[in-house]
Amino acid sequence: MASNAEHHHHEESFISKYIFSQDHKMISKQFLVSAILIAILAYMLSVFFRIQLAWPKESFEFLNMFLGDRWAPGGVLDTNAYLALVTIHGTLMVFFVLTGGLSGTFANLLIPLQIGARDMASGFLNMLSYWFFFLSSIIMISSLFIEGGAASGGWTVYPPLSALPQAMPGSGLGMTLWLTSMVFFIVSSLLGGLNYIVTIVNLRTEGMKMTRMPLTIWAILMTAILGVLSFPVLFSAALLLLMDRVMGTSFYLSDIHIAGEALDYVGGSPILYEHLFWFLGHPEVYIVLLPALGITSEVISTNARKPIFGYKAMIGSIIAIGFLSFIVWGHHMYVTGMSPFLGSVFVATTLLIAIPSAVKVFNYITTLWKGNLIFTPGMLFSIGMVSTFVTGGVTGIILADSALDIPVHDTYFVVAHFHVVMGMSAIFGMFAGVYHWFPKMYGRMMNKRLGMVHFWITFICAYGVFLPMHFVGMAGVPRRYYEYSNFPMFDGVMDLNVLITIFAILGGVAQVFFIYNFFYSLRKGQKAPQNPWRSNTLEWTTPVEHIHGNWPGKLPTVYRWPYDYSKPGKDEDFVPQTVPLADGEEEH
Amino acid sequence: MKLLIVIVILLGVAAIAQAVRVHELAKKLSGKKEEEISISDNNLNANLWLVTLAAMVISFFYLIFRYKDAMLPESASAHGAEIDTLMNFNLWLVCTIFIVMNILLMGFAWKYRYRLGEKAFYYPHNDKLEMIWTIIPALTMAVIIIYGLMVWNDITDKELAPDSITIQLYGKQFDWTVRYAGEDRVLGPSSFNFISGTNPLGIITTDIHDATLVIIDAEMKTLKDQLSNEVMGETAYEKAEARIERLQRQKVRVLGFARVNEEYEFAKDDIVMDKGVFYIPVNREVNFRINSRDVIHSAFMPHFRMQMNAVPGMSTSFKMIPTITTAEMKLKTDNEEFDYYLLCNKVCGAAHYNMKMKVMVVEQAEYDKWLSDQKKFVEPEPTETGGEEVTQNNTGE
Repeated sequence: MASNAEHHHHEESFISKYIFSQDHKMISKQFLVSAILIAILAYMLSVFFRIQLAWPKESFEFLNMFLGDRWAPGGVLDTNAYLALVTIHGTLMVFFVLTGGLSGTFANLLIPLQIGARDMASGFLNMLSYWFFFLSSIIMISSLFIEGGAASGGWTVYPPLSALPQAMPGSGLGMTLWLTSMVFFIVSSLLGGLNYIVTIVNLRTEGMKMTRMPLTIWAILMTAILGVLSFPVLFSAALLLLMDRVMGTSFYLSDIHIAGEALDYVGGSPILYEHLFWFLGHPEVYIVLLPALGITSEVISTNARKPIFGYKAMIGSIIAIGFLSFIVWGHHMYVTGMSPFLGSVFVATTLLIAIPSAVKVFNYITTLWKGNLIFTPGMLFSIGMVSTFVTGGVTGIILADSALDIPVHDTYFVVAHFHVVMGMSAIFGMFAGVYHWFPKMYGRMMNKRLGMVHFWITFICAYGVFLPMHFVGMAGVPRRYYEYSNFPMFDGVMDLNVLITIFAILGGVAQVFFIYNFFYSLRKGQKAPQNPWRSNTLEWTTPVEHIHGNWPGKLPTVYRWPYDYSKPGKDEDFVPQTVPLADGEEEH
Repeated sequence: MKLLIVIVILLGVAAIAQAVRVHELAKKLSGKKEEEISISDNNLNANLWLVTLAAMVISFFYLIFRYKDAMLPESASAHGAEIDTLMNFNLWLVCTIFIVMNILLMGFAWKYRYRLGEKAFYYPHNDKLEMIWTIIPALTMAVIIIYGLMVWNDITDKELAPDSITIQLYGKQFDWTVRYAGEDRVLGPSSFNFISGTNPLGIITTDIHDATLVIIDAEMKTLKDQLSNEVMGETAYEKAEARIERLQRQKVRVLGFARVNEEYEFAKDDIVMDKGVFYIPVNREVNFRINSRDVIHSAFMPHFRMQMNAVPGMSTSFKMIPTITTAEMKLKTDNEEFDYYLLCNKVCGAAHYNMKMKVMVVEQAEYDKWLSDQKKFVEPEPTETGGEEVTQNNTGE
């Protein structure tokens, strides 16, 4: 095991160093680069269908250029292709970028470095976790290129639509590949999650009490617990769906007459699938969000030169959010015919989440108060993240209220809500993490000016897309519609669709700044100093050049919490965790 | 076009590359470091927070001003008014939180920018303060939960008014069919096993029971003849065999229904509408029973604040009282073209975006007249042509 490997260097082949690496830092980089590539693809898919929504049925030659004659004949997106793009955009973003990519990158990088461990508990499982992730993303992406197209029932793939190949072309091979890919993805996620938990619980260095862990680690710990408890449920949901598809079982299907004939399925219920799916699906939101909240806590505290306010309350709210996230899934199902009384229970539990979330936001804002803020790109994205977390969070109050859900359920109001609170917040957290820890990952600095330009355009475009989208949703415009010309009642807000698409394209272009900056700095960036952000946490005590085992010689000992910034009576405005408490000094 | 896009992208990347290179060289000469943010850069970012905040708040109010009429169009049902009041209450609260919190956040970001030689205020926690902002959201949520559930309980109350009309909304790829319960106010029994071209809802009567068995037997016989007499490809052969098996099982299920059942009487005066429009009377409770025959659909009528999924294998329901007739709404919106619509709001396949039915809300008298003009599922007197098919003359016209 890596923990007793000390630091005897041995020459490694290219394959064991860069491909089948068991070193957590390399695996973290593999996750990050994969996630960036997948995110570029997933973003492009969204631009394609946004163009159809803004200028329905108008011909765009480049759609034909990218999608070919079957999907965009004459430059007009096909209806089935539209649904396939929507589905795969959602699947790739939620699972592959914001779950696999975000957790995979920062859990792997930060857990050993911030708790003072030589590596993850099992480097081998960690490697498997990445390669299962890789395999599943290849399967998912390849489903875009098959006859009949990729899965098209929306990222939630509700049966019977997803179960019956007669129902739509995407429910044929495309759906089988979707399910296969998810099985591998879940395996990857579980291997990763178990590893994270075991490492955090067992491999903390001397003095690293649970109450001295950086909030990133707390957030990742809770994320991993949520994943380990909820992904198996999605696994069973997918397995039963697969059995309905290929073995003729009736778990989710009953009383179906389709394509001119009565099918044999009797006794199942699609609602069962919805329960199983959302039992994962809701914790999944926090699996995506918590690492981002952890990262921003760390980055904001460091760059405000001020301790994070209410450290224990932050931990408490992470735990509370994690617990509550398991008993709120029914709020996705108020209009499915679920018992109204059960609905009311979910109203109450869901709105309770607003309390720990509000505590977190107040604590962030108080952390900024009377701080000494340095606007590194990471800091900009972190503050941006808190903003989107607030903006997206408050609309959740409306959607959680079952009576109010009736007029806005499955409209663009929902789309706007979860993109802001989950999509934007998590991706901003991820950007913050990349800018902040790039020096640790690659030993070089990213260009700060490009980072700033990237942030401001991205931030403005994010609001440019999603603020108007709330209004489209409030007008009752349903999501997953190919076009709206049949419904004159929505004409009043259709011009907003053009505005949204323009901001979406601009936002996409802005990512060129990031991608260029990332890959350029990787090779040619300025060499990183030991502790560029003058931070307290342990990762900045490791050598800039990566070594196996992270620390040459003994592991560091921890004497204090990680947030001693601007502590009175100290010369510097930061005190690393490895500095012993002075005589009579209180920890915090 | 193709070339143009590629060139623009390449030029863009090249331009950024050059800008960075110049910047890097300049920096190397001046000895500046990436990790150090200059005071001028820092101030610029701080000011940008203020500018963005202002832009955001202004555009938000502009959007409200510009689109307030399109948002939640006037509700045309009794419970819709209740929902709207609750919605307005919540929206006020939500918008206030949104604006105040963003002002605090970005305002602080602007105000507390880095000042040379100053130290941040070491302020790790304050239990009292944290208690306050745990309790305030908790109380607010308590109010929202209680108010919200009061409205919810009202809407979902199972008890029906004595004069309520029962109407079935039946979804299939990609249209809606509507069935009125008729004078007996009870929908006749139905099952997916009895669906045919002339009986889209699978309503059961003794005649249909017989006819269905005849149809199944006929198709089985044709297929069996094909299997024994024709030369077929392997796939076609397997397909036909599988079809026969399915038909056999369908037959078993059909035989599971009694041939004669007094409940079948309920079906006779039912009225089935699949012509893209249906009528409901104003100010009278309508109880929708919602079903689907293939995938999940969702019956969504934005103006009535009504939405409920149509789930194969089970019935869902939603009751409401329409309060504004179509004619009145045309006047109110000053739009001759105005119509209420029933939409599908759960993705159900390629033509999902096209699945709709017009809803006419009319005065009771007009409703009664319209309804009496519609044909019943089984007409009281037999028609001239005879035979079991012709007794169901409500469809296929």
